[in-house]
Amino acid sequence: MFGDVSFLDLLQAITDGLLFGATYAIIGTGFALIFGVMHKINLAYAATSIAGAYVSLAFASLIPMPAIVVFLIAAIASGVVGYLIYLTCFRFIPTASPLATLMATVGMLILIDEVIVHETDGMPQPYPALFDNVMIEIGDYGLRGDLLFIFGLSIVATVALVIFLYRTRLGVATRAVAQQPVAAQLCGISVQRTNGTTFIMSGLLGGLAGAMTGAAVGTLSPLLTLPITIKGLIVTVIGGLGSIPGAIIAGLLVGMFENVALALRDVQERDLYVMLLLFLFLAVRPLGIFGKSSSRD
Amino acid sequence: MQFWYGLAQLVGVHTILGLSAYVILQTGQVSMAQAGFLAIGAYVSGMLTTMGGWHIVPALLVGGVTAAVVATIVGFPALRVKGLMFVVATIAFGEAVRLFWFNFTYQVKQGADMVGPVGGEGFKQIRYFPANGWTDLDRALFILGLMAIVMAGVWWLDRSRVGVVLRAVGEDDLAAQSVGVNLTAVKVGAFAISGFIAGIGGSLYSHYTTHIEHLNFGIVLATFAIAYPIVGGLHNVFGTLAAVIFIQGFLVEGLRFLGDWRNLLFGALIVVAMNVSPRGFVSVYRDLSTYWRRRVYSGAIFTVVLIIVGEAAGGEVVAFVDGLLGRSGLQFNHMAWIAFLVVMAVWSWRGLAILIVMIPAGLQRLSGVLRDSLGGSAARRPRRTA
Repeated sequence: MFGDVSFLDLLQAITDGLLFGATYAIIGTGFALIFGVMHKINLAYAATSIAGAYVSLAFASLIPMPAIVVFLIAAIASGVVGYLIYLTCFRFIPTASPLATLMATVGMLILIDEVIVHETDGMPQPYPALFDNVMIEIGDYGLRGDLLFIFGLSIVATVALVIFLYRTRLGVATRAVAQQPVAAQLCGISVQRTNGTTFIMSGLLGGLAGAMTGAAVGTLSPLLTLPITIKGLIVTVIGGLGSIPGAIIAGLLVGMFENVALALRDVQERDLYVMLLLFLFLAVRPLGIFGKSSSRD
Repeated sequence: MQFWYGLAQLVGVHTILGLSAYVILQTGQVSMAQAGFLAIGAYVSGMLTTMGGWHIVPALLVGGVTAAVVATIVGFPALRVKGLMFVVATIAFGEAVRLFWFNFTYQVKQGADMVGPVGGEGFKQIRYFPANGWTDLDRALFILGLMAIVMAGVWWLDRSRVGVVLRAVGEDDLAAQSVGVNLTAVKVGAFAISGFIAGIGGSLYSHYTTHIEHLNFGIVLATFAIAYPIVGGLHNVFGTLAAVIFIQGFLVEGLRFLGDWRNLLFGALIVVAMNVSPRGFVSVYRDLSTYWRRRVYSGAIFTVVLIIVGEAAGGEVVAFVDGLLGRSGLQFNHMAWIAFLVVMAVWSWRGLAILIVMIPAGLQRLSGVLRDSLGGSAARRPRRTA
């Protein structure tokens, strides 16, 4: 079954997967953020992040700019798209119709995908690679520079998110709304504005993740949205719904697992093993790593 | 007429798919596994008729039963979770089924060539219908007939005690449990029924397209499956049929002449429709007065008759209209749909509104939303939260 995969190859696969898993961790965190506050899924979320990456690509092709600026533009564009999704799919649909919200986000997913296909004629676009030729080599073992950068950037983004949630007034409001919307409202917090900000925050994260995916894969294509959506959802479930630390750990885990499966088997079967991992978690620990048993309120 | 027979088959298969999702939605679970069950039914029955030389009806049943068995097996772990977790679990299951067929190759020699599914290339030559001399009309009637049977079955299920139990679980599973409903049995049972229905739909699907591949059964199809009952409303089975006709007939087939723009409009229309009518079409229809309901009905029937008469009059009418329209790039089929909308508009402007974005209900809701947000009624009227 394992063929002739040496220990070093396996180690290499694990580290590469772990580093790339950072993008899944960020996407999972975005899903968890929205779920934590609104108790709803935003299926258009991965499409938001890819849309942000495309906008940054458009800017980058107009004016040459350093990588970090490209990433920032992606984040900001995704934040804007995230807010638009809040307005179109969440703001005016009653809380009592969760299915309508779900369906509307699917509509947005299709819409964003199709806008991208329309603008690019469905052709995959090359994404500017970062530190393409930077390799930290230790004998046969190497670390890809761009993956290291991605990993570092996602740590920075996560720290920024934690600071936002725990050190700012808006963050306190966000956590209050997540915990108990009615009580938050009674304290004078505008639930709708807080929800909107949450979408912007998760959009910013998503844009980073989209740009990171683009940089790591090397191309951007509308075909990326569905796999990222599915992986993001799987990460959210494995980590435990609405749990940010869970999403981070599960993201790294899924990235690693996927890459090991790729090294041991082949690319056709890779995702099958990720699904099996999810089923294993559902059977053994249905609430995920950090999931709390939901109370009835 | 060819076009309408094709459309009828498409609507039949998709309505069965939508009804399979309808059953499980009644228990309050959003299942994205329907495309997976469809794939199981499609491949299994396709293999039975093509490689085993079976008749279509037993193959259909075996396809359905296989999907139901898989649904039962998967249902036990998957239904331990609910809500979002269940959505993700079923997405994963659907993808796993798709990837299974992606890696599955099994062929037998038949005459001069090999038949059977070949991994990524898919399963070609499911030629039961052409091989047995079924005409387009035969197929359309067969598929529509099965659709009617399934619809009647689900309609009966809805009105029986079973339906009451399903909806009780859907409304509040804890309350249902406290009056003695066995949640696991009900949920897994509903999942199995929905698997069976989807399996039958899949069998029809593979036989009418004659060529299936794993890509047909992706997450998009799963989304369509749950979109039909959600857009149509969960009040009764006819909403699902209406939504299939609206989505497949109008949005997908009718707007084909828009080319690239159609897909853009498609996503946007879903968003708009969900905003103005979160409870589905049927609820809007229910809100209409009897007077307007009659007009919607008669408008629809009149248009269908018009189309049938126009087509039955033979190729001349179609050719004449196509000749007139030649320069604009439109065709008779598009014109028939536009005529449908115009007739609906003339006979009842509200009927048109229902078909497109349900404007009156939307305005009503919009004014409600505006009143809420402008008047700050949130403070005055304490809202119940889930």
